[in-house]
Amino acid sequence: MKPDDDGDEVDPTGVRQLLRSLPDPGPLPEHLALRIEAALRQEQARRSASAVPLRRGPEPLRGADTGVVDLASERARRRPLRTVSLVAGAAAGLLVAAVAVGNLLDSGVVGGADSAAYAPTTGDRQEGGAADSAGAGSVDEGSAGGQMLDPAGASEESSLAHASQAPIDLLPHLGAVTADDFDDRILAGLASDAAMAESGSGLTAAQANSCWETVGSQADWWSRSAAPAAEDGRDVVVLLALDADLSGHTWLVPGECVTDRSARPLADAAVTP
Amino acid sequence: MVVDSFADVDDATLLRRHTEGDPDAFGEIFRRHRDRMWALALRTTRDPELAADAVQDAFINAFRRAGSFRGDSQVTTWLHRITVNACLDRLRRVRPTADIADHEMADPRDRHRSVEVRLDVQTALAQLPEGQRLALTLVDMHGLTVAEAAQVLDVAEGTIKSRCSRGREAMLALLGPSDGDGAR
Repeated sequence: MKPDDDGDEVDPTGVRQLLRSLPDPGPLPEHLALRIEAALRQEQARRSASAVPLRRGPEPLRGADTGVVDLASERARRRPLRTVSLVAGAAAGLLVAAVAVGNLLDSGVVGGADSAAYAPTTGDRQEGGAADSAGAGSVDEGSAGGQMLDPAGASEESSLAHASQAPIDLLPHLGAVTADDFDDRILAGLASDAAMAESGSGLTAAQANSCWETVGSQADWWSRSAAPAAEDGRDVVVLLALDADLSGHTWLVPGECVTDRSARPLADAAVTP
Repeated sequence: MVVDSFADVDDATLLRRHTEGDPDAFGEIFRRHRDRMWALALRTTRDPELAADAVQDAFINAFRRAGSFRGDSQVTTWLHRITVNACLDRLRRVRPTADIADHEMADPRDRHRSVEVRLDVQTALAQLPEGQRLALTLVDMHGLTVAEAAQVLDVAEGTIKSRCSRGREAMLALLGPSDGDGAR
């Protein structure tokens, strides 16, 4: 690493000295170091959990294979989660159906449209809804507070809060979604092979982070994903957070979230394993 | 992650230990090289937000692909390559038409440029074609040899020499008068 020792590298212009005299950009910012360390810890956890050995082999340094993301290994890394997600989704559907039928039978209502027959189930859902509302309230508080706080300070604080969170997996465009099916669509998107299409997501990590700010979720999720979509002709972003047991939450947020962290979620839903 | 236990361990050994399952080895590689890769990413993207994403991409990719490191080069050269690729990938997402091709810029000795324009060094560097700017960043600012820079950018050593030479000449023209006073 000593260009001066490289006999061919003679610089009569003096530009090299000039460039060397430029100030160093300084160390990696601490909040970014924390964010990357958190991402590396998650990689380590995934590696330990899957017990998949790192790829070995005589791959040359030269060539495009040292590109940013190895799609093949990425697919291999993600497939178990996708498979489990699909199975979990199917199981959750069966469970809901079984509980609903059981409630119908217990209440003596068979085939009727009396919503009281669904009370226990819907009660559970309302609890979830209440929690969701609390979450939304938190967003409101955050937004209100944000108006009073120094935005730069708030942003820095937010970055620190996100430092320990899972990195966001960027999924491809989901197409048209509705407030009723966005949760299923992103779960399907996560499970799809197309999730690792080379075409990319259309979202950058920074944009996805901005959208996550809008939902105010500071939970230490095991996995986070974001996908662009369209709802009723407008751009939206669907966010998905999962815990290791595959329970989690999804949000439908307006497309403005990529630049506007005060955007409000349009809808949200709990994900049950 | 334990730091002291790695004090005397070289990078290549750390990488090997990582591939063998040592859960702390890569953390030490990150600590050793993070500032240097951050500087490289900032100088390559000239955008702190893109640089932040690129550095994260780079270290995650290095973590996953450590098994592909053959030891033919230094670990730091390998990391430089991964980081430059991550930066170019990020740049092309926001500027899909960006091209590393060593295309010519406008004649740096153009009368208007040489007489009128006196740019500061950073601005002048930013004016160079990407290939020349990357070559100068790696060789003149990060101290890589021509051979190492050639590995990082996946081009011939002669190309690096040519890009450095032309880049310095262009810098000189941008920074100073056309009478060849040299760099300020």
